[in-house]
Amino acid sequence: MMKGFISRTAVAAPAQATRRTGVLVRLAEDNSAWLAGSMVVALVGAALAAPILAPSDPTAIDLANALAPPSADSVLGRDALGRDVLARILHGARLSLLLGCVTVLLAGGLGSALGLVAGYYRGVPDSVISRLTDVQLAFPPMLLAIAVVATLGPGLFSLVLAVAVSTVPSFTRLVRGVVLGLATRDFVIGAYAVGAGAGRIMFKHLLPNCLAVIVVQASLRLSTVILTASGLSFLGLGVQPPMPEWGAMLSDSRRYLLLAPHIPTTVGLALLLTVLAFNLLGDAVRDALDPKLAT
Amino acid sequence: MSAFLLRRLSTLPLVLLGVSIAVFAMVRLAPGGPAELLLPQGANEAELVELRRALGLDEPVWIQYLIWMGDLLRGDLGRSVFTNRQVVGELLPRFLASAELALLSMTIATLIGVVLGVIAASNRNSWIDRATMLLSLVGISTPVFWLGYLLILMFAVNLGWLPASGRGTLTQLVLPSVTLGLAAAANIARITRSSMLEVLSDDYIRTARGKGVRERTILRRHALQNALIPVVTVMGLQFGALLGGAVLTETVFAWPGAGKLMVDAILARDYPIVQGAVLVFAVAFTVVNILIDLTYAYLDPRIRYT
Repeated sequence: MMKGFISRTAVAAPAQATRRTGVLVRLAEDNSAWLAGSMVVALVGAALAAPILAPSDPTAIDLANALAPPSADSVLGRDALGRDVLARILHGARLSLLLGCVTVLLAGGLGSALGLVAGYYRGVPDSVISRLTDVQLAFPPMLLAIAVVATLGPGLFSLVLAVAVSTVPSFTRLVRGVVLGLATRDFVIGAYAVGAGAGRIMFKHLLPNCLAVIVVQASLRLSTVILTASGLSFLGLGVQPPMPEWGAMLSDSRRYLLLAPHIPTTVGLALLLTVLAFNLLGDAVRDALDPKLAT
Repeated sequence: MSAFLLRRLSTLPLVLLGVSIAVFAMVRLAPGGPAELLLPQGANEAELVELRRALGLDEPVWIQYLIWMGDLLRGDLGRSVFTNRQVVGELLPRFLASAELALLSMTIATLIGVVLGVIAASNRNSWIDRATMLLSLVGISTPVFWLGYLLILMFAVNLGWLPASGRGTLTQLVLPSVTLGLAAAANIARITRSSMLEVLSDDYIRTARGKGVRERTILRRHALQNALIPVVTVMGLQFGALLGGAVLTETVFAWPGAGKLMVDAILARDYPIVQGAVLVFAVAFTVVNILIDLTYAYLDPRIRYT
């Protein structure tokens, strides 16, 4: 135990300190992190200020101006029901970001908890959780989400649940692996020795050491989750009209592809830029937290 | 080889059992039971009880599962609620259409992805590398259904070169498979690049350079062959993403595949069809992943003996 005590105070503590500052320094030195950061800030700003920025109500119907091309009156034109496309795109950003964050939090929380339990208790709980994860992974993610929606029926609630279910395994596997690696480390054995309970060891000692990988995984998953959710809405299985969701708007614009190509073009571009921003951010966070993975 | 093969195959029965239970449970968990879904609106209680008995829904759940499983093993997935045709008969031609699309897309994705990855890696940190990687990041971020629209607008509407939808002629295959292939190509390019970079820093590459082997030969013969091994392992995941993307692509291009059949069936609440499609997708994905793992073991002797 003596050896463990020394290594913890003398070596682990300074290493922790340099790592913390290192992350911020590396992020600040990374050009793509700045690009990703500004894109995300602009996006979140646009989403938050949507009611102020939007030229009109995103669901206000104006049939006289149906499919109007972009003009001074409506910068990005109007859709088949005469609704302002820019207003719908801005409110769509709100919906996509909110859905994405809620889903990632739900999947990350559940997946990490399962991984923590599996890695800490091993034995039967691990077997049960790992086999369940195997079954989940036997479905391609998008299809698993589709199957959940098929069971629960289309809607906002089943959309979040469906995408979360398809995202849980990635967190479970990851956290389980990290916990298995930590179990034999001195600080965990030391906690056992002083009589810490299972809950205390899991949440006070193991979880904080998994946080870095969980954060990286969450930021990488956010883009996938937003893409999957809009894909489900595109298929008519997610957000239902008249709510301004990008996937649903793209699906709706299919019938007017020839008459109003500006609608799918601009809506899709908004979705692309959002997903790109979070992909860049995810990559930057991963490279900063784990320089070994950087290429 | 046999130990690895056995270990890999030993997980298969349990996974398939889990998949079958999950697919069976889909209908039982659906709001309004299976019998309610079959009856027209406004059916009375007596009719409901009668139908439940006819369908065996008055038996305990595990007996229902065993009956369902028995039918499944005999290749009976039930009948479509709407056409009353055998689900297997409805699914088969649709799956062939999906397989055609998936295979061609995977080929396109691999060719483009590997070539771009090698080009990026061999020009590390140059503008070529940066441009290729930015392009692939944009590719990963592009919603596949939107890419489909853009290609339709460009090649079907503006240029009039290719048909925008349907299946039958070879030209109708071009746009859907390119749409689906480009999305997967972006991922493969990124993986190929990082795998190539890792291999290129190995000692034997330096030895080959020291011997005076030409750079092209080093890239093709020494580096690429080894760099492709990790690429093969992620092909399984790529194939899963491709199947998901296929559902979207089939919807965009009105391609009569199993994905489109499944989505139409969900919207129509035709559960037997949905169950059948989900089951076949999952089994296909699992089998492809095992085949990929076996290929991996074949390509890399280190896996076979550890």
